[in-house]
Amino acid sequence: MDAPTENHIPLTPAALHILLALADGERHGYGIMQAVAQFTGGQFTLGPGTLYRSIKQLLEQGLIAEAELRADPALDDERRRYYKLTGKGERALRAELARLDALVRVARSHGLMGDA
Amino acid sequence: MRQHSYLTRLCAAAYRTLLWLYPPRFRKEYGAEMALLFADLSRDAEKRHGAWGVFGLLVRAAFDTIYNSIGEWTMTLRQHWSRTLITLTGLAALVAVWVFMYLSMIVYTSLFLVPWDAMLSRPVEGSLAQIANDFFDGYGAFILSFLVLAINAAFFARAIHAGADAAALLWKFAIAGLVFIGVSWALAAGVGIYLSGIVWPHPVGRSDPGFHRSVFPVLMWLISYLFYLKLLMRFGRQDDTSAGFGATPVY
Repeated sequence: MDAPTENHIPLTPAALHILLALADGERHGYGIMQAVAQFTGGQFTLGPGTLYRSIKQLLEQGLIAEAELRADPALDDERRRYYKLTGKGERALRAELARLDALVRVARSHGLMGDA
Repeated sequence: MRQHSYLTRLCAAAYRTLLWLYPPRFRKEYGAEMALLFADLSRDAEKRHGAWGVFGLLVRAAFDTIYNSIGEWTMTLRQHWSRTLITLTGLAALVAVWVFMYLSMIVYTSLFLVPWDAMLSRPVEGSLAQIANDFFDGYGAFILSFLVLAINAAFFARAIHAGADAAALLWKFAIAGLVFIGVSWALAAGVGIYLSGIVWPHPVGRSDPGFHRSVFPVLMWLISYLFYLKLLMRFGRQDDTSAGFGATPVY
């Protein structure tokens, strides 16, 4: 039986960013890094080793799954492995974002952050 | 189709060599993807910042590889050994590496730290200058070596206090220490010896062999040591993926 979603919370920063990058659809490794750089404004970067070790653990946890091997026409004709978010991964991502949202609301109530 | 320049291909080849640091199973599963990813990143880096951008990427990737390969090897240990065995062997490995590091430091500083008067190429006068002379010529090696070990022990304690898994941390520090010894001798001694002119004449070393014989090897050693300290600092962080997800280490 799969472990409950709460066993995967809190996610590491690397895992959170990877799951967020895959929320929009399937991506290969380079695509994940580009997406993370784009939505963090370059503030959060993943090295290749950190990325693929995180991918390996996310696969083992069942939070992501491998999609087909195919080429990215925007890059070159090398076949790349794509990854996608699973249902379990989406639930873990939502649970983690809810946890962070609760923290942000507490911070706002203490005047530590500006209004939304 | 986007083209890879010669520089990009060269750095990609260097990165593929670094991938051999990972455990065989991990390398077989993800090595090709990681090499392809690095090629993409180096192409972008070259486009934005030229050759220096690619070199900077390779240095960051080398650190990323060393850090993550150590983590991946400790995870491999966890899958095959009991926690007790990992702790006992890790402790033995760490003690052995630290003794080796201490002796290596003694030899290194004794080889490359010349007396102060030799560095300045003139006799020294005054009590402070004499103290500096004695330091570089005598007990300095022991003090520096002891300081290095004390700093390592402090980082280890800091990582334990931050909640890092002690058993895996022993092996991480041991492997990192071995990497540091290898890199510091290869890089610092190699570059330092070459520039100091000890083995064969060099324009830099020829002008003042005493000073350059000390400065370049020590400078290269310092760069290696800072690289090593950055590695040790990361081992205690909560986002160390080898600790697993959530608050509980995966065992």
